[in-house]
Amino acid sequence: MELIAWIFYGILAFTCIVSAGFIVFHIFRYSLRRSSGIVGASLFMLVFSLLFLSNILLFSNIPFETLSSGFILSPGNGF
Amino acid sequence: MSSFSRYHFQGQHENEEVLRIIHRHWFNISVHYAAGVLVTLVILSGFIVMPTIFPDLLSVVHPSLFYFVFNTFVLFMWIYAFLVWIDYYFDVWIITNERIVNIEQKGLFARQVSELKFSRVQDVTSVVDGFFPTILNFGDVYVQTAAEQERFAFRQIPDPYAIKDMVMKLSQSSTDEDLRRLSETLRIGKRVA
Repeated sequence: MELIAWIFYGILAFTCIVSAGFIVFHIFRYSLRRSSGIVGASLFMLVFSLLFLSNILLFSNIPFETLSSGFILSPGNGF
Repeated sequence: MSSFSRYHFQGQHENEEVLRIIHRHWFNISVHYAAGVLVTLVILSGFIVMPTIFPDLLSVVHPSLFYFVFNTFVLFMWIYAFLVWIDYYFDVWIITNERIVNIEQKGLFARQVSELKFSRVQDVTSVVDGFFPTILNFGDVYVQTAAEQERFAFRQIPDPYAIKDMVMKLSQSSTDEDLRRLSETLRIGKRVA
């Protein structure tokens, strides 16, 4: 269960990193003003890095063993 | 010196001066962002409402999973916001003292650059159509060139009437310059003959 979750998470993380890379590339490569390119790319990278690092931390804190044993969809637990 | 002297674009000629840079009107990007905000509000209200509908949800779903899903959603919205901004900001029309350059950004992997010299401009039309375009003064400007070619279009730009006038003036001065050069050449030719 945990291994499968990490594989899927790896794909998700890779997609995010590739998207971020392309965004930064576009901002640097095609900005008409160098200064606005630097400001835009810095702002994007700052917030993206914070969100991405917290995302990794939150994912690594998910207790997969507890979830796989306790997460049962039944009328008794509200579903 | 033009206020756009610090702006540079790929393929700019050596003595070419940027006179104006035109992006689409802010209303255009606002519509995209409004849709994003609406989706965010629906999902956020879902996060708030779900535990009240299913009271045992929080005891079943671990808080870490809950925060992870929320964080992932915010991360995707951040990337989406910048993708929309790139599509808006890099979709640009540049008016220089020589020509009009249209750079069209379509997502991350498609970019089209086309140009039109003022000497080839035949006719310019501005169109403001609809409630919001009329109130906020934005619309399209179409530049007609040679008959076989399609029209060169500025889409959803602010102040289309002023842009139309600007293109017409630059086109006229380009024609005058061409005529002056032609008469100069003819005069030299007569003298030589």
